[in-house]
Amino acid sequence: MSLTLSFDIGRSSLATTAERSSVVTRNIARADDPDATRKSMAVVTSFGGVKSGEVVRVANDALYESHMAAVSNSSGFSALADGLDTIARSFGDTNFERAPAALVAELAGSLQEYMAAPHDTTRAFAVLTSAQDLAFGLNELSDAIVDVRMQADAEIAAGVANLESRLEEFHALNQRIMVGTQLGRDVTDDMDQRDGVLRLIAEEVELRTISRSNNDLVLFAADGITLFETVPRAIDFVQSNALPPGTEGGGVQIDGVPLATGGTSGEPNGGRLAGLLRLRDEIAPALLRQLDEVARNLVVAFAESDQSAVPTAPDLPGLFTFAGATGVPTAGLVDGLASVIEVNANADSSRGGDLGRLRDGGVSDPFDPAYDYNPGAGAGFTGRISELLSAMGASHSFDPAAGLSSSATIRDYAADSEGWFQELRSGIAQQREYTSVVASRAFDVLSGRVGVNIDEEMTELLELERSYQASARLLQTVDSMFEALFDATR
Amino acid sequence: MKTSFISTYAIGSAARQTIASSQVRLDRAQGELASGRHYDLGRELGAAYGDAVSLRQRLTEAAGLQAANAHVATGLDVKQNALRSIGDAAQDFVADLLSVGQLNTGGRNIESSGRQYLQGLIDRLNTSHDGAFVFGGVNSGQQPIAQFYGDAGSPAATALTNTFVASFGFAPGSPGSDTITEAAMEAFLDGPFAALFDDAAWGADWSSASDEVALVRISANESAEVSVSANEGGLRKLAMAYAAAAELGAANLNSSTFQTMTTKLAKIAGEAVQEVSFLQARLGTVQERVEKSQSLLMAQDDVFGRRLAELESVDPFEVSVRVTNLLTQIETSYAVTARIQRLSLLNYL
Repeated sequence: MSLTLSFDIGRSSLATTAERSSVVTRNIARADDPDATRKSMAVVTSFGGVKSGEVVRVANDALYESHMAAVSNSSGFSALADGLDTIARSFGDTNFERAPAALVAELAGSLQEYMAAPHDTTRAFAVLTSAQDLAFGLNELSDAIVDVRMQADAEIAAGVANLESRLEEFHALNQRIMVGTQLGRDVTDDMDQRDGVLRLIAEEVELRTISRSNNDLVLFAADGITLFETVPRAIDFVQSNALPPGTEGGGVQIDGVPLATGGTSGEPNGGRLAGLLRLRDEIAPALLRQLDEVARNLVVAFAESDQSAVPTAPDLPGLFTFAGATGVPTAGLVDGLASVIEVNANADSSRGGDLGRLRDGGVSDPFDPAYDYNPGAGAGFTGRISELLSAMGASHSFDPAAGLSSSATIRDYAADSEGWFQELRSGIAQQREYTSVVASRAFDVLSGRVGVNIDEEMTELLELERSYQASARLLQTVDSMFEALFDATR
Repeated sequence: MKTSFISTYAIGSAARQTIASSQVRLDRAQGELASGRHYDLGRELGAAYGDAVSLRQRLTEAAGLQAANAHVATGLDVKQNALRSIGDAAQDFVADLLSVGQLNTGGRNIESSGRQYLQGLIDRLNTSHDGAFVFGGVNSGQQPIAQFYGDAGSPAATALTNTFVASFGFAPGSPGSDTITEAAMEAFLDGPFAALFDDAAWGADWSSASDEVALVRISANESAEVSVSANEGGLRKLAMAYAAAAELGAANLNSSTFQTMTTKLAKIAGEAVQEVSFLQARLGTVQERVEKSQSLLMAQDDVFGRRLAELESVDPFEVSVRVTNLLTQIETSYAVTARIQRLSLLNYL
């Protein structure tokens, strides 16, 4: 051992301390970056002093996995809940309703009033107005739900595009990390960035990762569909130009395998794409079918029948009809009826019809005496109005394919439909809140474990300062020893 | 080595999230406090939302029924009033007949009062309410009884004169009138004259009212017959008695035939009074039912309204406590956040 060696060691210590303080500076600089992890530099003792080792980052794979799962869940439910909220706005509130259920009751109420004074044109007009409100209400709601489906379809397209570009980004980063690892470069910042991209991918689809040698990652979507292995896999989706009721939108295929929609509420609903698919393909179509059934049964309830002694003519749509109607629809779903149902022009005074036909019949075919319920033309005739009220109060058959009971009054069915929808929405909204809390908690825990704490960095900086001071003092001491030696030999 | 379990970013974001979520909840609670209803009813009620909708439907329909019933009740009152005055007039007529029957000048009095009573009856039967003729039956858009004393000769008056001429060979009130015997008059009144008021002739000459019954719903499942037709037997008999008194030349009859006629007419009018009061009783029953249905509907409104309030309303005390708690919570969050932000090692180096 010589004093010269001490000099060398002191110098290496100064150099290492400087490098370590640069790591601390990097940490502090990125303290407000949610993706940043804490880096530290190992110090290696070697012959002739110390030298800096490789930079390592704090990681916690288990926490990261659970964080990503929570992000997937939360964004899936949140996409679904947003869509349902949009539909709910079309329903209005119970006290200010444009919903079919309230409008059906409104129509029944005005028919009751009309029955008390069938000669009164004002009351007939009130019935006509309620009927128009109901038809418009059904059209509007149906169109609003179709819009929600279209919007979901567009968002799926945007999500797929986003997913593809994120995967490209991921690909580039993964490549750099693998090469860097092999060459022994510092890849920790790249890895942070890759984790950030991964989080964005997890928002779109549920994600599983498997790590391989050289920090390579393989990505799987839900159900084990390969999303990324060395290169990104192909994602296919065809956006629809129009999604009228009864048509299906295109599916999302990753690596040739269709992406499943989310489960029922409570089950994991991984990723935004799955949530949107469920909105577009399950919930919105079910609601549309229920509206179509309400519309169909309105046409049936208000249909007019042959009043001849020996009826031969078929029943025809009365007050409620639809474009291109050739007869009363038979039992079973008619897709899109709710969006085309309208009030018959023959009863509409503003379109050349006659309000009196509400009382006397003949709305279906004013020129065919077979459909005249009131041949005597008595202004106090209540028979037809009474029949309509009975039809509104009677049970009708509904297609079980619409997901509700198969026999109910129109009024109750419409109320059930709203109840069904709101229950679903309520459940999903709760899931959304719950999963978003879980996601933010998971992030807090993860960030607490792997993130940067400025206080900790400051204390480390103090340590480094002291170490630097000590090394400098050492050099000074050795220098003064040399000086003493030189003085003695002068 | 990593020693801490919280990052600087996590400290900040936790405080931010707490404050943001508390503010959202405060906004909702304030909305609830202002409206007294749940902020998001569908979210809050879930499946029970369907019940609330259903209750609202029932209330809407009940409101329609109540308005209808109010209208029906007014119509019934109008009919009752008209029938009451018809009945009163008939009783007066019977009294007139009995008091003047003995007098020599009675004939002329009976003729003029008969005319007035007939005109009065026709006017009452043509009563209208809210644009509908209340005694028209289903045919409420048309005046039920044609005017007897119109400018143009009414078919009823013409038919009456023709029948008289056919039976006796001269017009009513003509000089030969005192030759009509009691038996001839009785036969005429029971025979050709009564035939003028049977269904076919009444329908052709007098009335355009319909016998068809108009039913009106007075509750969700209950209907009532509210129409009264001018064709009711009692009303026809009254018309017959009045017309006979006014138009058969009573003043020119010999006294015994006049006696026979007044007795006969008093009997017919007496029967009519009874039938009219039956009619009033029938309408009274319907009025009673309508009234009961109204009070039932109101009681239902009350029950439905209360249930609806249970479902839709929030407890204002509970919400105001919630608001106070949230305000405290947010203030605490602000204070804590500020202190944590001040708490940094940098301040001590």
